Amino acid sequence: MSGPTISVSGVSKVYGSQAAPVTAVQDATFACLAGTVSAIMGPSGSGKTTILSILGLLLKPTRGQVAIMDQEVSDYDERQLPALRRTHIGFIFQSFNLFSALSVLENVLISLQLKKIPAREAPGLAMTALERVDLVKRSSFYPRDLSGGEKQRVSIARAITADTPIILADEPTANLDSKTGLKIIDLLHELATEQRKTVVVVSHDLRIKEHVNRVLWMEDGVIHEG
Amino acid sequence: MSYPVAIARKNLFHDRMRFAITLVGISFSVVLILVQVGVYLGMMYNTSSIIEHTDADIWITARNNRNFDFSMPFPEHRENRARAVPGVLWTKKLIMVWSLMKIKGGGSENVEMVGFDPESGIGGPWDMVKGAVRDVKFYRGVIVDESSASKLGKLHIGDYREVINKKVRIVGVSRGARRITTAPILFTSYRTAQELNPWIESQTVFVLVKTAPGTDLKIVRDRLARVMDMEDVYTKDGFINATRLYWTFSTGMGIAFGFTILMGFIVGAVIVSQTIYSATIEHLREFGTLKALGAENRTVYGIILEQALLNGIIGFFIGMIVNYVVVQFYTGTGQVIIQPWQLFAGDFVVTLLTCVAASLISVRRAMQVDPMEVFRA
Repeated sequence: MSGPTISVSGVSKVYGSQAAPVTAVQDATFACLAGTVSAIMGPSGSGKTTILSILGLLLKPTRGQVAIMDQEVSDYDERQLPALRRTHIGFIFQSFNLFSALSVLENVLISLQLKKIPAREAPGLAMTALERVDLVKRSSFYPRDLSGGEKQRVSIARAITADTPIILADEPTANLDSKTGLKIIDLLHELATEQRKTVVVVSHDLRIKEHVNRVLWMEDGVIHEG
Repeated sequence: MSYPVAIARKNLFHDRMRFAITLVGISFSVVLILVQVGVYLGMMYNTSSIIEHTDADIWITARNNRNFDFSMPFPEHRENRARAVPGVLWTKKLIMVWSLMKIKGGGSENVEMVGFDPESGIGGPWDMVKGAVRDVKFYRGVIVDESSASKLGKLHIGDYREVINKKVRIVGVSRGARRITTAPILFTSYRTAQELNPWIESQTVFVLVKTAPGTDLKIVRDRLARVMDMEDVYTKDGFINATRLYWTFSTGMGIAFGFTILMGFIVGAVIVSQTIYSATIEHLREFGTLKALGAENRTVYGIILEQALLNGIIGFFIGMIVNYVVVQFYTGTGQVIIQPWQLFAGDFVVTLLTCVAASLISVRRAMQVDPMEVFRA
């Protein structure tokens, strides 16, 4: 597709009651293209995670439209969304969100299992993704045996193996030292350029500015080009 | 590596302490229910074992009699009326009387004395360890049940004892005639029972009836009920039920057992609910992550349900093993415990249903998981 992968138009999210509303996102409008890394940056409490949840189809906006791959999804109900998430969106989390009872390889296999990839293909695909993040030797390890950087690479491998056009990363460098953090951002950048992924990174880490294609600044729920 | 990845099983075995606590709770509940119901059924068997092993279709008792062990006597000539009823093949008289036996070294014990017809053996012991049933015909011969040893001491054939100041001779030892009253049981001839207990002279306690082949039991029973207008007439099953109901409800035994079984069930259910719920809470972020990765709600519920069922199945089989040990110990003390396959099947289903019900509470919590939970640091 030639148009934007993600298109957000006039999106607002209001929490709380009518008497005491709290606006987390106010009238956000932007688009993200395939092959680029966009960073949404801003201080804590500015609404970054809320907009990421909306982009990830985990939260419905109060107002406005969200289109993913040209599909208007704001009105989709909960029964339609899981399939859209599986096929369109990969997540990378600040706290890695690995399954503590599963090995590195199994954590990656989960994405394929949800997509019902047959058993003859899944292990090969998972190992390819682990190879991409240089974790093949750790494939039988459990999350408790990994460093923060390794955990984040498992999380990325999980997103790679899902092979979704969009990858949403929430503070991917927050729990990592600066060197490892930048390596992770570079890895995401490679994914965007080599595999034409649309990567959206939410962060308040100003060091990543130089490593992304575009910065959107967010403050008090209002988003604008940085 | 296994694929598909068994998240439920992996989660269970990953947190071994929680898993162990859950299994202890479930198996404790299983053992408590199996043993309590088994002991209850064993006691119920004890209440009616003589009725069950007596080859009679109908039992005639004094009016308003509701059990085997505490029956009033009635004139033995009333047997003649029963014998004359069409459809009756034969009748036998049977005595069950409380008596007193002196024990070696002084003191005495209340005993249940059963006086039966030694020629036919109807109403007599059905499993002899030593001696012969017919030997009770000779010189106040009595047969003691081996379960009486703890109260009467070890008795051997040829030993003499006194029953209400009259000497009796041990002529045999039977097995399996333990009474729920815990009183030792002595079998003797009908006449000896009357001789030893003179206040029932010319009286019987039961008239046993065998119906002629091809006759309808209910019709004969109704005919007998009309003729035996001063007595109660039961079918064999009816008298077994009446006896069991008496012991279950009139003595409070049923409530006691029911309460213990309920406690076992509640304890098991609470432990299972608590552990499954806390495990769900602990994995809430993982369930949220699964949903973020595109898992349907039913996938998450499936994992919780599978965990609950695995807990139930493994806990049940551990409970079975513990139950086996308990049963071996219990029966080793001479007590009766009856655990039919239906009990195991029923308890298995109850255990699984409890686990499923417990998991539903967790499912409800998982449904309410905040989608943004996955982003929390």
